[in-house]
Amino acid sequence: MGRRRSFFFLGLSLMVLVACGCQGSGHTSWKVVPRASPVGGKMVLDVVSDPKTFNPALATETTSTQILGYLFRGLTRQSPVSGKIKPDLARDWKVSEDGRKVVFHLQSGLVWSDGVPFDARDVVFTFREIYYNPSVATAVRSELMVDGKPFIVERKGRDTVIVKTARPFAPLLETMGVEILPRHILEPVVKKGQFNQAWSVREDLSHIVGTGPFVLKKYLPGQLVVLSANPHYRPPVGLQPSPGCPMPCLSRLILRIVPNDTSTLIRFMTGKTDLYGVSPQQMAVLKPVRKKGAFRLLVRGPSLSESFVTFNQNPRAPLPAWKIRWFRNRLFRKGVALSIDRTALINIVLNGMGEPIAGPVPRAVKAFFNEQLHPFAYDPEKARSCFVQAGFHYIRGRLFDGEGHRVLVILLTNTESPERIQMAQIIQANLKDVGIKIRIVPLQFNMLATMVMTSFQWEMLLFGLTGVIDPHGDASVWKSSGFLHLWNPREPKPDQPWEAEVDRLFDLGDTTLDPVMRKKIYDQWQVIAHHEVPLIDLVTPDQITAVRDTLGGIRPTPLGGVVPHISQVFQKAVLAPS
Amino acid sequence: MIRKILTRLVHLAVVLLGILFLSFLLIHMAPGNFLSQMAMNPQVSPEIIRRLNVLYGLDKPFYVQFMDWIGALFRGNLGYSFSYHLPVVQLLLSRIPLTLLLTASAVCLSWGVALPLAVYGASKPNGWLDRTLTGFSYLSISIPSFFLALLGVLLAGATGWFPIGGAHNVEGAESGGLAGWLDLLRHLTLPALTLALGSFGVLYRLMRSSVMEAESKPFFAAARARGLSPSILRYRYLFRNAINPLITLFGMELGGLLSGAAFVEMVYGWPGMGRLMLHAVLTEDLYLVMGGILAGSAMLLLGNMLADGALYLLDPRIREEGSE
Repeated sequence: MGRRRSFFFLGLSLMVLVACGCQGSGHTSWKVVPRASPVGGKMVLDVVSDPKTFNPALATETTSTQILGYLFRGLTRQSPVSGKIKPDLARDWKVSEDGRKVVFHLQSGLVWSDGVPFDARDVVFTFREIYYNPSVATAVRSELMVDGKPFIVERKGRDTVIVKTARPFAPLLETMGVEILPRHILEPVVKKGQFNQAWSVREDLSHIVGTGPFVLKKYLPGQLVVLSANPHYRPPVGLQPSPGCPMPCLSRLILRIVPNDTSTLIRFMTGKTDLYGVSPQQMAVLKPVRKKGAFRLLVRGPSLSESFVTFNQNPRAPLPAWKIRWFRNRLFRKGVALSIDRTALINIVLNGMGEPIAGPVPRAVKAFFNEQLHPFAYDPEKARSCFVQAGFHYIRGRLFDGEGHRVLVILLTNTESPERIQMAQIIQANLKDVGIKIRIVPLQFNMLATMVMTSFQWEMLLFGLTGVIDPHGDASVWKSSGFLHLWNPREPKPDQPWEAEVDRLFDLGDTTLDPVMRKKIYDQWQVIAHHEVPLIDLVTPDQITAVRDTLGGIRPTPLGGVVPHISQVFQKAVLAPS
Repeated sequence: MIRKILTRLVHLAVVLLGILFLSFLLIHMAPGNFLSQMAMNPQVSPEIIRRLNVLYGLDKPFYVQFMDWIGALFRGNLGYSFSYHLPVVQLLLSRIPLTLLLTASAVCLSWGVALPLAVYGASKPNGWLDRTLTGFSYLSISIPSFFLALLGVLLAGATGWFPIGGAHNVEGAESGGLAGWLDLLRHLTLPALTLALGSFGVLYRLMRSSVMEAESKPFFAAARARGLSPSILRYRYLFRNAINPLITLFGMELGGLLSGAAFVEMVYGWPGMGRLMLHAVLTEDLYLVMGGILAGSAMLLLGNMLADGALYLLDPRIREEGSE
C-alpha cells in the first residue's frame, strides 16, 4: 500500500519547505568528510509505519516485508537490475527435460544467524509445515500453487531439494524466492499450533533467526528498528563484495518510523537519513538544494505501477442494458482511450515526471515488454469518428447512442489517492470535449472494492494495480476466470472470443519454459490487450530516489530501488555540517 | 452515598456497553473488512481469502462476533489484532504509556500556566497583559493543532534545536538511564508544547470569564468589604468559586488523555495510541479498533464521573442539592 497523502498536506509541506528554503541561513548545509575505512558504517532510513509482524509467512504490508527482506532469503532471488533469477540459498539448479522437476543444490556451509547449520530439511519443513499448512494464516500460499495444487517438495540428503509440479510451470524459479524459515526454532511452535502468533513484534528478537545479511537488534514500537550485521552471513554465489568490504559492509541498519511525509522529507533534507523516495511533486523542492544537502537525485525510469480506466462489461451487472452495450463495444472503448490527454495527466498530476503507458506490461520489465506497442495518442477528432463508427451520434456536441440515450457515465475512484482524483477531473474534462458527460464519485477503498468485486454496481473505474514482473502474476486480472478480471470477473467460460485467446496464451505462457517463446506468447497478449482495450492504460510516474553522497554500493535499478543488494552498500564518508 | 456511586457505576457500564455495541455495528456496516485490501491483490487467490475469513472468524454473523468478543472481554481478553497477530491488550499497553506521558505533560503545562494567568488577567481586565493573552487565546483556539504541529516541525528543521519525530534518537534509545530520559524530554518538548498551546486559549477564556462572573457576585463584594488581603481574595474566594466549569472540563480532558493527541502524534511521529488507532481504523483491524474505543470511552466516562465527584466534594451547593 502506498503512502497516503492528502492534497492539503502536500500543499502544506511545499509551503513549509519553501519557508525552509527562504530562511537559508546555512544551517542545513552539509559537507562530506571521507572515512578512513568504509567498513562498519550505518545506514539510516525512514519508514512510514511500524512493522506488523516479523513472521515472513504472515507479513503482508510493505514495512514488514522490507525489514524481513534483510533477514531472510529464499532458494533464488530476482536481480532488480536485469529481472533474471539468480542463486541465493541454492547454489545452482537443474530443470528436468519435461519441465516438471527442478533439482536445487544448496550452497554449502550455510548457517542460521544463531549458528545452527542450515540444510535441506529447513526447506522441506518451510514448504510442507508452513506454507502448505492449512491452519497457517498465510497469503503466500497462492503463489506456490499450480492449478490449485501445491508443489511437491522433497529432499535428497542434506543439500539437495527437489521440487515437482504436475505440469511445467514457468514462474517456478521466481516463486522459489519465498523465505525459508528455521526448522529448529519453528517446528515445536507449529506442532503446538501456535505458528499464527509466532514471531510477532513483541517476540524476543534473538529468537528471530534467518540467513539474511542482517539480524534484528532492537525494536521500539512506533520509533525505530535497529538491525546489525549477521556474523554468520554467507553471501549468495556470484555476488561480489564492494571493494575492501566484508559482506554485509554496513554494521548497522537503522529504520526510523516516521508516519508523516513532511517530517520524513525534512529529516532527509537535514541530513538525518540516507535515502528518500521522491514523488514527482517534490522534485521542485529537492532539486535546488541537492548541493547544499549533499545528495543526488537518481531517476530510475518508469515505475511498475499502472493506472487505468476500465468499463463494466459484465452482463450480470445491475446496470441498464444499453450502458453495458456501450461498454462492450470495442470502438467505444477505443474512442475513450483516444480522448484522454496523457500529456496533461503527466504535466499536471505528475509534475512532468512520468510517461504514458501502452499496455499491461510495464516498460521497466524489459524481458516481457512489447516494444511494438505505443500509447494511444490524444486525438479527439479520431475519437469522435470512433464513436460515430460505433453507432453513436452527436446532437449539438453531445454524444447519444443509437436508441437516443445521452452518454453519461459514473466514474468511480478511491479517495485515498489525491493523484487519482486529480486524474479523474482531467479525464472528465477530456471526455466532455468529445460529448461524454462524466460524474466522478470518489469512494473509500473498501467500499469501492465491494462495489467492483461483489455487487458489480459500477460503470467506469479509475484504478491502479501493483505491477508484477512476470506476466504470470497478471493471470488473475487477464484470464476470464480471474477474480480480478475487473471488467467481467470470474466468467464461467470466456465471454468474448478474444478473451478465450488471452486465456489460451496465459495457459501456454505458464507451461512454456523457453524464454524466447514465452516472450512471443506474452507479446501476442499485449497486442490483443491494446486492440481490445478492456483496460485503458494511462500513465506511470518516474521512480526517483534521493541518495546521500556518502553512500556507496548504490545503483539505480529499473525493478527495485537503488540498492541492487543490501550487503554491498557501504558508507564511504560521514556527513558534517559545514 | 455508596448507593449513589454504585448507581453511577451501573449507568456507566450500560453506557459503555451501548457505545461498544454501536461501534461494533458501525464497523460491521462499513463495506468490506480487514481482508478487502488483500482481496484486491492479484497475487492472493480467493480461496486464501475465504480461508483467512474463517480463521479470523469474520465469516460468522455480526451478533455472534459481538457476543464472542463481549464474552472474551469479561475474561479480560480484548481479542486479537489481525495485522499484528498479537493480543490487543499487549498492543495497547505498549502504546499507552507514551501517549499518557505526552497528554499528561501537556495538560499540566496548559493548566499550570493558563489558570494563574487567567485569575491575574481577570483582576485587571483589559490591561496590557490581559489584552495580549486574550489575543493569544484567539490564536490558540483558531489554529488547528496539526497545523501548529507542522510549524513546530518547521521550527525544529530550521533551527536544529529540537529533534524531528519520534520519542528517542538511536543513541538515547540504546543508552537508557539519565541520558535516555533527557533524550525523551527533548523529544517531548515540542509535541507537548503544541498540545498545551492548543488548549491554552479555551482554558484562559473560560477561567477568565468565570472569575469575572464570580467577582460580580455579592459574596465577593462582602469579602472585599471585610478587608481581606488581595491574594486571599483572589485565590481563596474567587478561584474556588470560579473553578466549577473547569472541573467539568477537566473531566473531559481526562477522557481525551488517550485519544486527544492523535493529530499531533501523527505529525511529530510520536509513538503513541493515535497512530496505532488510525492504522487500525484504516485497515478495519476490528478488535484493535474496538480495544481503542473501549479504552477511550472508559476514560471519558470515568473522567466525567470523577469530575462529578470532585464537584460534589468541592462545592457545598451541589452537596446540599444532592442530599435533599
